[in-house]
Amino acid sequence: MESNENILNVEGLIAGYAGSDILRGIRLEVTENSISGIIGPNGAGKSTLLKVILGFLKPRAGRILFSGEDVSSDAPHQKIAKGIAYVGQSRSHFPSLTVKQNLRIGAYLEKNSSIRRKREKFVFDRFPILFEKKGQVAGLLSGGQVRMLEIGRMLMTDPKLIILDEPSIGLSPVLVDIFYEQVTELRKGGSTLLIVEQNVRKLFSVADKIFAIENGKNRFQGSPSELTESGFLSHLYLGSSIVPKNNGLS
Amino acid sequence: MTGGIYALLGLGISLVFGVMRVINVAHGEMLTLGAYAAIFFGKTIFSGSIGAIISAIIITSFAGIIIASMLFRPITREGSINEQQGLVLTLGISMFIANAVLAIFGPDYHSVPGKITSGTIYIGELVLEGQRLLILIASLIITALLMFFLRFSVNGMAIKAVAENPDAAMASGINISRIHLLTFIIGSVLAGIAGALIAPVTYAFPAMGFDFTLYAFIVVVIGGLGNLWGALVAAYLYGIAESLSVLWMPSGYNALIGPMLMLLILIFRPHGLMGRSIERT
Repeated sequence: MESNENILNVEGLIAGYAGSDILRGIRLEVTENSISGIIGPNGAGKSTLLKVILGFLKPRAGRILFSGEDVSSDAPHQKIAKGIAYVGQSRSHFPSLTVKQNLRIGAYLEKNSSIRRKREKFVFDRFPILFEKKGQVAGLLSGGQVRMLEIGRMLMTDPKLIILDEPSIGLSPVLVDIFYEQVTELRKGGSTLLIVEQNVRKLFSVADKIFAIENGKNRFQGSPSELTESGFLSHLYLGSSIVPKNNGLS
Repeated sequence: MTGGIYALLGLGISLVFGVMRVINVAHGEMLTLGAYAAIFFGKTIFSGSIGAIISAIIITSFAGIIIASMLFRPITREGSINEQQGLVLTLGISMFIANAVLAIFGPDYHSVPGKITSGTIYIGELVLEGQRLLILIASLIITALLMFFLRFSVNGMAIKAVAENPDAAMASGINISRIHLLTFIIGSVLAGIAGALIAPVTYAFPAMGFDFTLYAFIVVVIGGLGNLWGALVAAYLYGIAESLSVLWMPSGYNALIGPMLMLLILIFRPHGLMGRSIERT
């Protein structure tokens, strides 16, 4: 397959902790300006996969290519510098700093202050409430506002690939909808997103391609409609005895 | 005066703990290095107090760089330092430095040149010794500079960021190891300056670091672990309490004030005067 056209290519990834392997040969292809999703039951290895992609964990085998460049052994700050951004499950912001300072930290690597100001303006335009509260300590923000701040902080790194780890966790349904509106807006603006999600229905409404993972291995790739039609979902999450004939592995 | 010294020590240890989650048993030894640097260079190359302080800064930052880059990095995984290994490491460093100083300079007490003023000032009923006042002023200035740096500079913000949420800091492109290095150097230099400052008013001996490590801990426990302003307030309170204690305590027992205060705090307000419970993701 064309590995140079994709923003992200993961090939044959093997990784784990202390002697055991959690990932056993994972592959991913993420095309530019698309939304890709990763789904799978608990323990499938989704968080581990993200950790390896981001550089928090070194793979034992396999490669990670970012726009064709091998970044498999880069440290996290190096990957951020290259344009991979990340908003995590647990809080991805700094409660004791103000909103403005949080954003400033997001732009830590950018030395040029006018570029920083431009990015900050972009974030404030998109999230007017953050501008209102720019001097406020982040610990006092509401849950939804914190999520916006985290996206804002992430956008300050001017990312080429945005990785979201279970973004709808802890959010009310209304906030989830608002969040995914933002996701769609980001894609419209040209961004590329890779989202790990438990909220499969919501993810399917925005994603172009889905990768289903189980026990550290790929089980299915395809568009959301292909996945739904194949009946694979019930197997994946409920362990039903229906194993789809066409499992979409190309 | 002692409040000022305790402040420098307390801030340093609080910073190192907050950012690196390492209990730096060797913190007092940085003060020892500073004091001996002041002695050595004060007598030979640089004359005068400013030179002594500068040499203390140079020596302790050098030591800090070596320790942080060569000794802490191997035990750092995914941006965090293994806490048990860190403790053992700093214990080893403290013994190493104390004994190295012993080997090089001998066990004798050294007195130090470099008093800037030797006069006394009289304000009404109070008698203030010039040198001690200078120490207080110097430590206030340095503390102010530090707080300013932490609040307004990017790297100061980065230090606070790493202390609060290392994962988000990494996700913002901050190089955690580099921030650890910076923090440790700052902590060491603060202690070194404290050493250079007090050397003229007290004697220097190889094991002097140990007492000061203790004082530093007392200060941060009273003030709240990881809270810088708490450490500041606690330091000055402790200093004042210690000085006042000579009024009502039999002399020789005033070193007990520190542990007593610490005990009181742990019983009634364990998270310190201004501490919050330290949650880290």
